[in-house]
Formats: sequence, structure tokens, C-alpha cells
Amino acid sequence: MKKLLAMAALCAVVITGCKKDKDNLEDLAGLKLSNPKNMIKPAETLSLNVEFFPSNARDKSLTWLTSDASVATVTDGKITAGSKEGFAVVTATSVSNPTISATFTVAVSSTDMVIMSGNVEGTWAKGTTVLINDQIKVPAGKKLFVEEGVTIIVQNGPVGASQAHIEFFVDGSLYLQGTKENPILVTVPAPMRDPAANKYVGLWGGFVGSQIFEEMLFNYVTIEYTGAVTVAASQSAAAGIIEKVGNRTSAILTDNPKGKVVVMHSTIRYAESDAIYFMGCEAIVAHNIIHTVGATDNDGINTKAGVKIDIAYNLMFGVNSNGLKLNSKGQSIDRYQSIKCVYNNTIVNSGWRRTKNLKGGSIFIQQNASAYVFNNLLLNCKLVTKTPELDNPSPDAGACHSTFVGYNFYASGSQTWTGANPPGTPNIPTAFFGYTQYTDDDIWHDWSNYPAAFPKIDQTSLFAASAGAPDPNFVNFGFNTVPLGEDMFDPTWDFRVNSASSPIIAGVGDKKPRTQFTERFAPYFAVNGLRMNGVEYKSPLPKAQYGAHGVR
Amino acid sequence: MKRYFTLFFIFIFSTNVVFSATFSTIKGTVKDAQTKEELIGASIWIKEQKTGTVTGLDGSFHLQLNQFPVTLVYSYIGYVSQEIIIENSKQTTLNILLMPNAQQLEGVVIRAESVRNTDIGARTIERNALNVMNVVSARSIEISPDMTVANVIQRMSGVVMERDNSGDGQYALLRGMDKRFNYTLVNGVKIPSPDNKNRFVPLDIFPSELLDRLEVTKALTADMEGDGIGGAINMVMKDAPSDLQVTANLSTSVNSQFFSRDFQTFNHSAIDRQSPDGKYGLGFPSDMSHFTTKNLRVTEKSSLPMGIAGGFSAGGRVFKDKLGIVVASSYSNAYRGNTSDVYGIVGSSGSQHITNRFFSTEQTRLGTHAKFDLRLNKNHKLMWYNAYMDFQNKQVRDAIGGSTQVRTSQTVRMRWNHQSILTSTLKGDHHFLNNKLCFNWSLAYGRAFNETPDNTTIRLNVMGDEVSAYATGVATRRWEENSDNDKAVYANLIYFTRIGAVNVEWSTGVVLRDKQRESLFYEYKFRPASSTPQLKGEDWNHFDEIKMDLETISLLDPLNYDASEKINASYIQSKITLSKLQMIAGLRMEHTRQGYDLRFPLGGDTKPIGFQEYYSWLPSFHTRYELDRNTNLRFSYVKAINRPSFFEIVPYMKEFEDYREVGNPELRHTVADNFDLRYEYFPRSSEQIMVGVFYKYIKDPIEYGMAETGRGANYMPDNLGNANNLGIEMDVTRYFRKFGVKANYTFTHSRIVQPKWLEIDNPNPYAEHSRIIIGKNQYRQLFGQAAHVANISLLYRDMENGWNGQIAFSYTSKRLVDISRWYNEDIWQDGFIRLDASIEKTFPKIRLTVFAKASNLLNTPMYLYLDPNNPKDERFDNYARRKGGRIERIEHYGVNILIGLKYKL
Repeated sequence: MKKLLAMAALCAVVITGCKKDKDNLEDLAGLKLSNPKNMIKPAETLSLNVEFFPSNARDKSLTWLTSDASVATVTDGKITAGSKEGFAVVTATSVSNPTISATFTVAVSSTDMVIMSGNVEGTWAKGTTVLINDQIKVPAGKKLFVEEGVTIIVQNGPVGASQAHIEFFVDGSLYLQGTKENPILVTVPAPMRDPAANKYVGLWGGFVGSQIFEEMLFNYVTIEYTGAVTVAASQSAAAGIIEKVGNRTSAILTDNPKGKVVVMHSTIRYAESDAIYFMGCEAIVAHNIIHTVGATDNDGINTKAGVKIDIAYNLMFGVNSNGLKLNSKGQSIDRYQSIKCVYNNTIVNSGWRRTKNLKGGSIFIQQNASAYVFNNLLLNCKLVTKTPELDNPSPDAGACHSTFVGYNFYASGSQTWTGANPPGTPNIPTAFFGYTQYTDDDIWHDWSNYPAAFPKIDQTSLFAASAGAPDPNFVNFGFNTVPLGEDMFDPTWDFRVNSASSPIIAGVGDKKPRTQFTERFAPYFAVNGLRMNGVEYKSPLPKAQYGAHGVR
Repeated sequence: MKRYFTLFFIFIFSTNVVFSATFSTIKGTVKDAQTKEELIGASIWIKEQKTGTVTGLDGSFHLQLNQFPVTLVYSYIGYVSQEIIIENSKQTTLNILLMPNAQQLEGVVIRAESVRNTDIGARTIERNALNVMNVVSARSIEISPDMTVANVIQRMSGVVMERDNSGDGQYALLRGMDKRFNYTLVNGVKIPSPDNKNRFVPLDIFPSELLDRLEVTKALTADMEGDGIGGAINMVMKDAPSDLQVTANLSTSVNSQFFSRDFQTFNHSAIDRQSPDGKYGLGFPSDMSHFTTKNLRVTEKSSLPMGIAGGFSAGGRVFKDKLGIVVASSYSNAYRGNTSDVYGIVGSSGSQHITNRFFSTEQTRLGTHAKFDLRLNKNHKLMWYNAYMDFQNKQVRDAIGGSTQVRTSQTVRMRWNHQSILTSTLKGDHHFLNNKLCFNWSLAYGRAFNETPDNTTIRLNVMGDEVSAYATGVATRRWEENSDNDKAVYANLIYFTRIGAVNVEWSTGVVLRDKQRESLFYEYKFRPASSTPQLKGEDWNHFDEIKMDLETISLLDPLNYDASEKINASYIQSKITLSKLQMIAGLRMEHTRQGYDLRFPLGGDTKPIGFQEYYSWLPSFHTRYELDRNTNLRFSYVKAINRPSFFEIVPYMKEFEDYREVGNPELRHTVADNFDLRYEYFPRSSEQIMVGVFYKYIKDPIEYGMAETGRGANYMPDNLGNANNLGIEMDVTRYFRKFGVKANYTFTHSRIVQPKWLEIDNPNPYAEHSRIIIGKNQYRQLFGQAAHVANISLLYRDMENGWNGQIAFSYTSKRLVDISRWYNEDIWQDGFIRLDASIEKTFPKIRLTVFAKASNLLNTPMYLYLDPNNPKDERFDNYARRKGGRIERIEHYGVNILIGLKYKL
């Protein structure tokens, strides 16, 4: 008996140690086509890499098809460009299992194009078209200059070995120096440039200034279709910059409190996530247009600890949640309290599209931020400036008591909101209602009970008297007609006002824009600007007007 | 619960038999003739009266005799029986010495080996050991309320258990040192751990009935591996007894949590053991069709889930006792519950955010052991030990979050974890030159495997009664797998000489170990397939009905790595025995080369390949002085190390709901100087009184805490400073016939200085930054350390009527469980008292024992709270508090009750 038991136990041990034979061929389960290059000139050829899954698939025979033979033909994985410029989708289908197929999009263009990836430095000369087809980086201590009129096309989708979306990663310095006449465009391949379909998809990562980046300049630059989701192998994730793998990156993301950033006269649009996300830098963000931003819960300019910034004369239109999110999260011994001077910005139609919950609808200040927010125009936004947990200033809770919010104008048209609300939240019919009627613990409408030690929030601001009044009298913008929640920007709009008697300039009653700009009302970089690569960039001075645009 | 406890006491006392005074009484003790150890449970049979008794816990007995002369038959397993005739009633005391049952085998005297697994055997080992050690015997394990080795070990002096989230102890903390500072051996050999974070096996995977004894060594000798600053735990598995022995047990168990709530479970057999990328190759173009959802349906059992456990062991010797065979097998299936309330911020509405987590865990354990020992002749012995252990843990964690008034989220995790360990050790023991030269060796192979396939977390939004899936991140599904292969060779050579009156034992030896680990990790994230919310009750009822799309695949995760460790160690040691003084001095050298190799090199500063290589010179010195026959005084000094785990130096990054965990390639190994002074008194051989003091200087202890890296905080292993650790321990074991008391207490004071951060108002009112963060040194105790640890067990044993009972209290004072970068913001686990009890009744005629065990009788909640001196806390109103500190979480584990039968042949 006991011998038998012993044998049984022994057998059990031996059997467990045996391995299965795995060398048999298996059924094909998937297919993938790739080539780091996806743009060719007419008459050129391109060979595709075909990957079979599993690699020991029994039947590897494929049939090939092209969507437009005049653009490109395909034979056995080899693409030959035709004479016509454009795009062709090449499809490979398994012979034994036609449900398994894969596609590859090839662009045929006679434009001269420089293909870039990996470590880059030097100069991208005026007017060049640059195609970035894999992860790219400006190494530490190196500089890359991009001259006016350059078009940078970033390959969309997960690419290369990392299968991460491309991020333009900066350890050194990057200068995108466009001009008013010849701006720089940073975009995706032409067939993907479709705002209706792709405005909130996040086709590529955006610019990432690392923990050691030195300087970044964006002057007259348009950045679009950013906000791709990150994976562990993403450059921003591998460097530990993003807070959580799976978060989306921004058009411009920074993480070095000593780094310098200037963003001026630029446009950031069609961003899935926040347009600008600063976790460390000294920055001037002025005279920009930020529009069509955020799918679910995203902001225009989001700033954390380690940021010293002037935000001025920007127009933000149709941002998902807040035009501005100001906090000092992540403050530490080597990451200073975030300080911001925020003036003369125009925030239009913010907050309505947020689906997650009700967390701000114009400006949101918390987590120990020290912010001076004045002379801004908040037009048809969902809510007033919110400052939760004011009784508990901390990098984990409320704003610092040095914060000041005032002299802003909350203007409301007569449009009513007809869209869906975040589950469980009340309907806010008009901007006027959101500004003045909707209340929660984060807002003190009754100033008489307002604790003296708390920061002054909007006690000096001008609020709409009703839905539709006062009317700022814009040169060209449907104050009462452009729907709340509209996110598509019309470049013909002109937010200047027709006369100096507009409340934008004159205020209403004793509520007027601030005229004195000393002490904390003085921008940080107006007198001593940010010096980058030998050039000093200065913040524009505040003006006694609400918003960015003034009178015609 | 207190009521039950009182009842239990009354019950115990009422069963204590009151003697009749009308008969002549004879009393005495039964002892081993050679060692003079008291024998517990030796039987004394009165031939004429056809009745008898057995000796109590102190080896004593009482008998009533009503006729003379009578014949008393003394017998005990493994001993030669004796008959003694009592002529008259004048004789009232009788002390008997029994001779061990010696057997003649090719001229060799082999002593029965069933002695060491008794309490006396345990005390004898402790007493004769040259280093500081504690031993628990199989017999005390058998009668204790403990089901696993983990429960057993927490009754030992200076041991604290670290519990998993079902409340079971898994790892031992020796003398207030974190679990990482001690190592686990099985029959003297290290076995690889399948656990991703720990080098050593969790103790709860060993069923206690397989144990022969448990040895805890607190001061290492040079012939032991040097990575046990806290000590080493050796589980000695059952040996073949000289007589055939068969035991079996069967029991059922319940957890009190499920009296009041449903047990949640899911179909783990529907899980795809491999992810699409694992199955078809990396980079497989997967979509939703490649993921099964059959395993995502959570079902509720409203009837009380009953666990079942059974064990079997058989052992004996064949071929004229040359070959000994023991096989043992155990299976258990238990249902455990845990509720955990995680406290968050107080929102602007004034109500606090609390996440209520409900855990439903089903644990299944299977252990099979086979041990063979072959006694070739008097000089050569071979032993082959094999074990296969399998551990499955299926858990549903259902969490509801939000403020106490408004619930906003539901997160449900369905996780099935499977671990297995296969180990095989061949040992040889050879004696030459008339026992003057000994050579022993071990070849060990171990394979450990750990998989958590399709660990799925579903995230839902809650608004009032409305539960919906929408926005991003509705599900995360992870496949994790790691396997370890360990090969080791141990060899020792021992030479005995005599120089004058001094016995000197020289020894030298080597250990070569090669460890390889392979770790795989795939993560897939899913978003809802529709842009409008999918409502529960309308669009879906079960999680498998939520429509979702694959959003991202994390392929090149740094958690895909190979790790290796090569250790070459050798030592020399000499042991000098004078009449009353023994000394051991030794020097050990360990060479470590530990490294990792990321499968997918990342960019940035991350090194794709890394390794650490160092030599450690570890001197040790132990001395024991016999003050008298029953009293020892000991002193020892040992230098020991602690290595980072295989996982810790890999630059990985792992996302959890509340935080991110990262590896630390810069982590340094720990080196410690350990001093021990101990006084021992053995009033009787099964009893002891022991007092010891110890001091450790620990350079670079590895601790876990939140490291702020810019905007986020990462949970990271780190070297945060150097520590001093000073302690006192006391241990008392006393028996009073049917009663026994075992008590131990350890006080540990440790201090480490860590530079931390403090947020203050800027003293300069003109500065731009109104709030600044400054550096400030914090003096604190070591991570995981409890200042006071006390255990008291009360034993009751009535051999005649077959009753056994035990009540065990344990107290652990508060300990640090999370170290913050911020001044006074560490998280403490509050001190707690735990009460376990067991009772059993044996029916010797049918060889059956009925037993009941209850653990965590007080259902003691576990509190984690922030330091009460947290400077930020003063401002917080409406927060739940414990001892003045803001509560981080409260956990309840429920009472576990087990009822069963044992059979022993």
C-alpha cells in the first residue's frame, strides 16, 4: 500500500515536469502589413513586411487588392506607385480564411519629403516637408531649429517597434519659428486631416518636453490631431512623465521646472486631450487660438506645480471642460509652487461638452495654485470660475490663499443648452444660469458669509444681468446664436467689439476691467522676459479691457 | 463574541476530572532514560483493573489503585515497554525511565526518529543548538488552532505575521524586521517563490500537518546562507517513522462575513490562459473578437459557502527499515471574506469619500509531498524529498466609491491567481574515518510558477440608482506570468578533532545557486463601444454584456523581463567545545550577481540590461556557556545581508487604481551587524524560560514608500537611511499537568533618520511663492516593525478523556506600513489583538478525533491611519479618525470556523 502511494506521488511529480510538444503548424489567426515608409513618389515601389500570426501558420498564401490602381498597384506585397497623386489602401486577405485580412495605406505624392525619426538636431529649412515615421527626439544638449513654412507630417497610429503613437520628445531645445505669413504646420498625413471624423481621436502624441528639456519655442505654429493614448513603451511613459500609463498626451507637454517655453501666435486644435499641459516650466502663452479640444473631460491649458507662467490674450473656443485649469499638484522640495498671471483671455463655449461629471466649466483653480486671474472674458461658458476646497489650501486640495480672481466678465447670450448632461447632474439651461443661479459648495454667491481669510473670488467681476445682456457687441460673432457646446471654430469670427462703449471696454456700473497692473497684477515676464537662444521674449502687458481682443 | 469565549472557558474547566479520595493514589513521571526528557502521552496501564492513564504535558501522571499488588505497564511509541509491580499502598511516587526502542540493523543502532517532532524534541533542539533558535513541534502544531504554517509561526517569540487581504498571515516578520529580511527553507534548502515581489515562499501554502517541525533561527551561523538579517525559517517535513503511520483528516469551514452578505464569484475556467499576443505572437492585430467575455460574469451565492479540506499522510519503512517512505497530501478549499473601507478626501459638501470594497475569495490549496530516505549502512544515508504545491486564489473585489452621500463609481475586479511550486532535493550524508569526517551534500531543483491570466477590472459610473459604462477606460485586462527555475548545490565537509580536552569541529562548504526568472506581462485597455452611456438594467445586466472596444495594448512593457541571480558562497567554520563552553566562529563569503534583461528596451534613461555584483564577507561568532545543566547563556555576532528581490531592481512601472508602482535599479543591498545575548533556563525538558536582548545596525534597509517624482507619487522600494534596531525578547513555556502556558513577548525599538519634506508658509511675505516646501529630518521606526509583539497560548490537555484545547492571543502594536516622503505623513497599521481557539476530542478506540478551530474570534478590524501629527491634518474637518490620525482604511476579515475529523492509525 505505502509503496503504491509513493509511486503515485512520484509519478505526479514526473508528469508535471513534462512539456508539451508545440512544433505543430497552427491555423492562421491574424495578419499585419507594415513599412516605416508610407509615402512614395510616382513610379516608385515599396515592399511591405507581412507578419503572420502565429508565425508557424499553416497557410500563408494571400490575395492582394488595391483600392485605386491609378494611384498604386500591388503584387505579392510589392506596391508600385502609378502616375496619379493620392492615396491607395492595399488589402491582403488570407486564401484559406478570407475573414482574416490587413490593410496598408500608401500615399503617392511628387512633393519632396524628408523622412525623419530617432535623434534629430540642426535645422529643418524653410518650406521643407518633413515626414516623421517613428519616435523622434531632440537629445539633451542638442538644438533643432524649424524654419518658417515647414510642414511636419507625423505618421498617425501606433508605429515601429514600440507600437506606441509618435511623440516629439525633447531633452534638448526645439525652436519652431514660423512667421505670420509663413506659419509652421504640424499635422498628420493628408487623408487623416478630417476634423469631422478625427477631431477627438488623438492621432499622434504631441510635443513632450522631458524632465531635462531646456527650451521650446512655438511661434506662429499650428499643431493638430494630438492627444494619443499612451502605452508603457511611449516615450512619455518610459521617462515617467505622464502620471498614468493610458493617459493621453497633449499638443505641448512639459516636465522641467527649469525649462523655458514660449507659445505665441499659434493655433492648437483638434486635440483629444488637453491642448497644453505644463508640469514644469517657465512659460509665456500669449496670443494663441486654442479650439476644438477635448473629448470627455479635457482642458485648454492645464498647469501643475513647477510652473511660472503668464497666460494672456488667448482665445479658447469650444474646450470640453475648462479653458484654464490652474493648480500646483505635485509640489515638492524641487518643484516649486505654481504661480500664474492670467489676464485678458477670452474663453468661449467652455464646459458644455464635458460628459464625465460637473467639474468646472470655464476656469478651475485648486491644489495650492497661486493664481492672479483678471480682465478675462468668459463668454457663454457653462460655469463661473470654480475654486473647490478653499478652506483647505494644499497640493492635494484647495487653492492657495494668495490666489485672486476678479475683474472678469461673465457674458451670456440667450442661447439655451439642449445637449445631454453628465449623468446625475442638473441641467444648466443658459450660461447666465450657470454663472449666477447654479450653486454648489465651491462657489460663494453670498459674499457676506465669505470668510475673510479666503482668496477673493470674483467679488469684483461683472456678471451677465440676464441671458442675452449685456451684449458685448462683437464685430462678427453670434453672441446669441452660436450654439452652446459648439466646438467647430469659424476663422471669420472677429471677437473685437464695435465701440468703446461696449461693456468689454467700459464695464457696467462699478464693475470695470482693472486698470492698475502692479504687484501681483504685473505679469512675470513683461519686464524681464524669457531669454531663449539669445532672444528675449516678453509677455504682453495687461490692458483695461475684458478679454483678448478689444475694440476694432 | 466575548460570550462564546466565556462559555469556552467554563467548558474547559468543567471537563477537568475531579479525583475521588477513597482510593490510594500514586503519582510520578515518565522520562526518557537517556536524555531524561519527560514523555508526554506515555500510557500507564493497570493490568488487573483494566484501566489506565497517560502522562500529562509535564510528563506526570496520577493513578487511583484499589487493589494490591497491581502491575503497571508503561509504554510509549518508540520505547521499550516496562512492567512494574506495586506491592502496597505505601508507595505513592514512582518515576519511571523508559529506554528508547533500539533496533539492531547490520550492527548499527538506529534510534527511532519519532522523538524530535514532540515538544520535548523541540526544546532539546533549542537547548542544544549553538545559535539562537526556536522550534515548534508537529505535536504542538497538531493541537494548535492553526491550519497553515503561517498560523503556527506567529505563536513563536518575536514573530509577527503580515496578512493578505483575506486576513491570513502569509509572511513572517522576525523580530520586527520586515518579511524581506528573513528566508524560508524546506528541509534546509531554499525553494523559489512564485510570488513576484518576494524571494521566499508564502508560509500559508504549507499545510501544517505535513510539518515535522518548524525551526526559526535568529542568528545565522557561517554554514547558513547569509541573507537572513532577521533570521531563517526552516520547515522540516515529516520523516518516515519506524512504525507504519497513517493519518487522515477531513474538515469543513465557513467565514462569518458570508452570514450577512452574498459570496461573489466568476467562472475562472472560462479564462483564456494566454492573451492574444501570448497565443499568436507579439504584435498580433487583436480586436474585441479575440477576447472572451465568458469569465466576466459575476454570480452571487446566497447560500453560505462551505469550505472543505482533507489531508492524508502515510509513512513507514521497508526493506528491513532501510528505506523510509512518507507521502502526504492535502487539499483545502476555503471561502474567505474581507471588507475594506478606503477613506478619501472630504468633499466640499462636507462628506468624506469612502470606497467600500467587498472581497470574496476562494482559496484552493493542494500539496503533495513524498520523502524517501535510504540508510545504506551506518555511514551513508540518502534522502530524496519532492513536493508539488498548487495554490489558487479566486477573488472578486466589488468596490463602490464616492462620498458617503453620493456614490459615484463602481469598480469590480475579477482575479484568478495560480501559483505552483515543484521542488526536488536529493541529499546525502556520509561519514568516514569512524565518524571523524562527515560529508553532506544536497542537489536541489525548484521550479515556481505564477500566473494571473485575464485579471480584469471593470469601471462603472454610478449616479444615484443609475449604473452605467461610458467615457474612457471601462475595462483593463492583464495577463501576468512569471516562472522561476532554481538549481542549487550545497556541500559541506566536517572534520572532528580533539586537541587535549577540547573538541574541535572544523567545517567548510560551498553553495552554488543559479536562478533564472522569466516574467511576462500584457495589458489591454478597453473603452465603451458607444459614445452614449450604457445603462445597467437597460443595455446590460452583467459585465459580459457591456459592449466595449479594444483601446490600447501595452506590449513592450518593462514587466516583460528575464532576471537571473548567481550566488557562489563558501565558508569556513570551527566549533570548539570545552566542558561548559562552546564556541563557533566562522567566515562566510557570498558572491552575488543579480541582474535583469528587459525584453523590450525602452528609450529614455531606462537601462535595458542591468546587474548588481558584489562580494559579501560575513563573519559570525556564537558562544554558549552552560551555567548549569539547565541554564544556558549565549552570545552571538553575525553579519548578514539582504538582497533586493528579482523584481525590485527591474525598471518596471505598474499602474494601480490609487497609485503607480515602480522598480528601482539603483536599489542597494542591505548589510547588517547583529548582536544577540540570551539567557535560557529549562526547568524541565519540555519547558523553558528565555530572556534575550538583541541589537542590529542596519545599513541601507530596503523599505517601501511613496517617492514623489515631479507631479506624481510612485510606490517604490528604496534605501531611505540607516537604522538601529534594539530589542528584548522573552519566552516562557510552562506546564501544569493538564494545563500549559506558552507566552512570549518581544519589544523592539528601531530608529532610522529619513530626510523628508514639509510644506510651510513662506516666511518671506514678499516672495512670489507663498507656500514652500522645506526639508526636515524625520526619526521613525523601521518599515513593517511593531514595537510590541506578544503571544499567549493557554493549552489544556486531558489525555485520559481525549480532550485537547487551546486559546491563543496575539497582540501586535502599531507598525509602519507606508512611508511618505512628507514629514509626519506615514501610514500606520494600528495595533491589534487576535484571538484564536481550538478544541478537539479523541476517541481512541475508533482512532478518531473530532476537532473545531476558530480563528480571528474577535473579528478584529485592521485600521490604517495617517500619522496623527500630520501637519496638514489640522485643517481637516469631518474626517474619520483613529487615535487622532486620519483613517486611510479599515478592514474586517470575519471569523473563520473549521470543524473536522482526524483519523490516525
